[in-house]
Amino acid sequence: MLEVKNISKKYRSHEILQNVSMHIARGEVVGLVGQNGAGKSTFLQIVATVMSANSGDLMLDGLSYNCNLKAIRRQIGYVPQEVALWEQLTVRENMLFFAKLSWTKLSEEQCRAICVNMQLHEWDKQVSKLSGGMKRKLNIALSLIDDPQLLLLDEPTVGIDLKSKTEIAHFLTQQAKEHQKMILYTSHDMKEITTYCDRVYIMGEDSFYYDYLQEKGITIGKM
Amino acid sequence: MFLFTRMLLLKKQLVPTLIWLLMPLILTVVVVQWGNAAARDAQIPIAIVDEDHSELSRAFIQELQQMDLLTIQLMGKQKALYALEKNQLDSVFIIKRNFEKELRNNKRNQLIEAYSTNRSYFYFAVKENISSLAQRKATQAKAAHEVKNLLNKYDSDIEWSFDEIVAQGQQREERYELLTVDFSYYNENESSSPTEKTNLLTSWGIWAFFTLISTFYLFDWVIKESNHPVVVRWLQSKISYITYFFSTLAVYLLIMLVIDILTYRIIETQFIWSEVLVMLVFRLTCVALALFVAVHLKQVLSYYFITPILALLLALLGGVFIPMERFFAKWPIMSELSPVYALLQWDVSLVWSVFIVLICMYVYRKESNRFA
Ligand SMILES: Nc1ncnc2c1ncn2[C@@H]1O[C@H](COP(=O)(O)OP(=O)(O)OP(=O)(O)O)[C@@H](O)[C@H]1O
Ligand SMILES: [Mg+2]
Repeated sequence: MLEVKNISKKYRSHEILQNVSMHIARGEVVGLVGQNGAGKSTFLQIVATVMSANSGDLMLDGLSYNCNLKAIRRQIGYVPQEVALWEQLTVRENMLFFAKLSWTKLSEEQCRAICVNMQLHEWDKQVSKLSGGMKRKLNIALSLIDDPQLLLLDEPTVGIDLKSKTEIAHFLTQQAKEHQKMILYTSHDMKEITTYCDRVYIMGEDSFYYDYLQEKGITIGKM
Repeated sequence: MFLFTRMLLLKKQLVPTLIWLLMPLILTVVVVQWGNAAARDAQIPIAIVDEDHSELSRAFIQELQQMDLLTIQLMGKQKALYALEKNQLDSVFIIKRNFEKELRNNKRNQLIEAYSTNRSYFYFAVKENISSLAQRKATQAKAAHEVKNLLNKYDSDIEWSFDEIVAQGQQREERYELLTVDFSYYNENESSSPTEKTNLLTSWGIWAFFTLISTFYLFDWVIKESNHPVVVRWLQSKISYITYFFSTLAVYLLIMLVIDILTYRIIETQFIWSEVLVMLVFRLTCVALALFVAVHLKQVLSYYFITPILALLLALLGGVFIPMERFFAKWPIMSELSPVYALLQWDVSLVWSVFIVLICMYVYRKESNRFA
């Protein structure tokens, strides 16, 4: 279970997040929506420990972020909004690179299976020669290497074709349900959000999103 | 497992990396070879004024003329000093009257007068050469005459030629301060010890310059990798980025040190551990400098722009291209400005050693604060 309590974040004097709270239970797929610049990526980065909040508390499975950073990081898979890949290496080399550095030692076959689950079938192709959507798939695959309990995805499906997108979403929701994982993801694709999410948080005071989601009968979490 | 991942990244640019690693060694050897060839026609113009007109002074001048680096003009004192003032000459040396007589009488003071200007870039090097030649002549003259006197005294039948005796005498050379008068044409009170060593365009000076350049270039990964979006992935890995960073650093250092020891073996004939140590400290300084610049930059392009300038500046201040002895004689503290100078003196600079340690601590703090 992820618990976030009263988080605030400032960039210099510019306040991005004010007293934001939320929680995700095991087995839940939670969406995060809001306008551009609302602070979704900032929030995800704080939960992923890329940066720290100015105030507030975070807990994962009862462990506080303040004193168990290493153990917490091990549980997290974070898919950044910007693709984070070695462009000069092949898909295979990218997977092996981070598999070698990870906690669980995956074999090459296991790495390849993750890619196939993400509908990425190119294996020996150099990343700089992949299409935008393929890079996105690899971007997600790399974050799954350590079999994370909490998966944070920042607009993971941008540019991925509808068929692959559907299959990826199926795979991830199935992971959450069967293996009691927690998934938090942001997207601007409201159809995707309404289809796969158990609950949705809205970032920023926005009646547009509120009305839209309520109309679809989605549970809206209070932040 | 670390090495495996490092090799994945390195093997994409293995050839350029190897070339850059070996570049200082290769270029030093090439430049020194080329420089030796060029030195045969490269000329430093100096004038000799022979006031003594003796057999010994003529022999002395003749031997000077055989030196590769010098073009020697014989002229009168007035004319020579005028030409010096017009910067047509690098320096002027006057063989004083009674040069031969004084030498024979074993008097060794003020036999040669030296004149230079503030634009006599090669003065120290030339003076060193002339001084050591005069030294040799003096010792030879003395020894030869003594032996000859002895032989005459005992009416020996052995007929030894003067040259043979000189050849014997060379084994017993001593060092006297023969050339003690320094005249600076423009600045009267400027003086410097005549034993000052000049390291102009020596192989180690050239090596230092290319080592600075190649070390800087080889450490561009610090910028490329630390600012790469992929760094966030180290949050979830077993090895933290800072560990990965310093492991890479250690691997590079190890390879560089091996190449440096190899370089020393190739360039020097003897293997002196203290000199190797100085060399390794210099390499560490280069690495520390590269790190210091790299952690402050986000763009590789600005790094490629700044570092060659820095390398050139440090080589200049270290006295690789122009002699800095006069300058350092005036402001000794300035000799610490460049780590190259200490290397050329085969000294370990305390200032730069402290710098290495501080930079390591600083970089460690900076890199480990990357993720709060
Ligand atoms: N490094 C930074 N320095 C200063 N301000 C920043 C920085 N990163 C983001 N911001 C600001 O923080 C606010 C939130 O940015 P964030 O990227 O979290 O928005 P977002 O909700 O993810 O937007 P999008 O939907 O476009 O991805 C924006 O106003 C942005 O300008
Ligand atoms: Mg965003």
